[in-house]
Amino acid sequence: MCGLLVSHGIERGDRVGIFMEDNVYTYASLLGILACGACYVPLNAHNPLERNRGIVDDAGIKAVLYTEEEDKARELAGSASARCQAFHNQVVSISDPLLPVDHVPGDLCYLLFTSGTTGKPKGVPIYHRNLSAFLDMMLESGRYAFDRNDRFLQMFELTFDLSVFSYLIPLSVGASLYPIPRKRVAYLEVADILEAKEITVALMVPSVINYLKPYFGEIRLPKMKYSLFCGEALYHDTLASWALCVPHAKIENLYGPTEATIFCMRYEWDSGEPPHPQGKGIVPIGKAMEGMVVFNANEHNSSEEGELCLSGEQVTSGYWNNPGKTAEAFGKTDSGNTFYRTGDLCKVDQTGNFLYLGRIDNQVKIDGHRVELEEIEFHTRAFCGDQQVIAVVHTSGAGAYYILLFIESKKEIRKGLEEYLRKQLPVYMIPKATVTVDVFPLNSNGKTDRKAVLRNYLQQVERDSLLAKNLSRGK
Amino acid sequence: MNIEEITGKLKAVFEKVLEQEPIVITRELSAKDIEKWDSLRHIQLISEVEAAFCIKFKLREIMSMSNVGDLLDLISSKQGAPRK
Repeated sequence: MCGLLVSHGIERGDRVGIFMEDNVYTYASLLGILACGACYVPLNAHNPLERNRGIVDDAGIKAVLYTEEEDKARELAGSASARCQAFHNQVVSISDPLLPVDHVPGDLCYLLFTSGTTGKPKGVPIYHRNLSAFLDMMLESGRYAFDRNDRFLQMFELTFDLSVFSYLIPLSVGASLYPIPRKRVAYLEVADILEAKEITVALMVPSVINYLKPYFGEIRLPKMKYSLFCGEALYHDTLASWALCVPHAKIENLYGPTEATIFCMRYEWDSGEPPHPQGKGIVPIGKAMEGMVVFNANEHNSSEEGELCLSGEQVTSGYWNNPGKTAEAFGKTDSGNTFYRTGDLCKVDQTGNFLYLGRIDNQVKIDGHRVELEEIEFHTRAFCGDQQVIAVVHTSGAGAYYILLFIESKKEIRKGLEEYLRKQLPVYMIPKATVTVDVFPLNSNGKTDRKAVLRNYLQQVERDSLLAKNLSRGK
Repeated sequence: MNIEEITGKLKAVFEKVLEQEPIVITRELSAKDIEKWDSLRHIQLISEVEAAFCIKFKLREIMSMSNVGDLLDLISSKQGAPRK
């Protein structure tokens, strides 16, 4: 792979796009890109062309690799503003052996794009010094006993940085990894692989166990050594039931944004422990991992609620080509170290464990994907003109989150909107329902009351469903 | 309940949960054919099918289903109807 990239003129520091596909070539490509000193930028071939093209231009991607999605790769490369080639990530044999390029800590490693509030995805560059710090913490701290006999679950898309843990840690220790096929719904694929492959290390988003909860009685995974969770709030009750499915596993709740390289806080959960008294049913996110410093931005009283800030070698230096957003989210500590403001509201308990309390902005997580609700609102407004628009997230009874979109309008203007949004946004950001409301309610500050909009809608849905039940009874 | 009746009932459940009309129920139909058929809707489908037919699926049964044909067979077997 490395030889192929070099033969196409890819050099150290170049950005290479890669379509995530379910095959060994995709993983070989990641290693090939890193070995020749370049940086990988994962792309979802099924995302709208416009969105992918924006990423190719913003990242200055020189080549897009594909296995099966040739047409999409060629169309994308052809639409780029600067020269970009598309080529098949086949493994070729070369006569002269190639040695991996020696990285320096400041070399780019991967560049991930996450949802942005201004309608444009935001690039998070991770450098080799960031990833090395993460790998040292995972492999050198002596905390985890991974070995070549382990079998790791890989349930994440490569655009989601938890994938880096799930493919790179097993490859680093000579263990095997089992990516989930993407033919059926994800949580069923996970359940299947956990059991069939006798997975010993599984990093999952809590949504998976929320979905599987009705079937815990049928799941028993005695080989599991580490059952790790990250990416969303983890609920104590669900975890306590899950613990019975993995009787020999060490269970940890991990925390960390993409900007601080995969995860950087840990809470070791004990199966006998009661729910945290201040946790509102959510498992704490614990303490900083080795090499990281975590603090509550509420300097005057750190036991009060405040924004969670992170500092240490795993924290990137800022967003890609975006000094404005970098200045908003990154700062310097008194000792001159970079810190990142996570936007997560936290509180520290008496034992020094951090508790996650929610967001200070409108970012939400859908199956672990970061979603800025403003990005959905931005594109909806672009479609509807001057209408006021609100995107909110709602939790279903099954513990799954989904997006509802409200438009302030006396006319019906939803026609064609979903089709338009599908051209702009990834599938997980498409609202599950769109509702027009004559006038949005206001709160005491005169601002749109987002919570009241949702509350009114849910009450209406409940009334409608009662009415339907009564009508069907009367038949 | 014969297979036609099961198919008709299933069609109503699919159209309600996937918010799409009409959905043509074929044995080959699967999640990859309908964009809205994601994890969340899959859970809703399973629980609505369970309620509509007064049956309960096991996880292993849900995992082994790869298309609507498998689902139809499973519903028939749980209802004691002859398979087609």
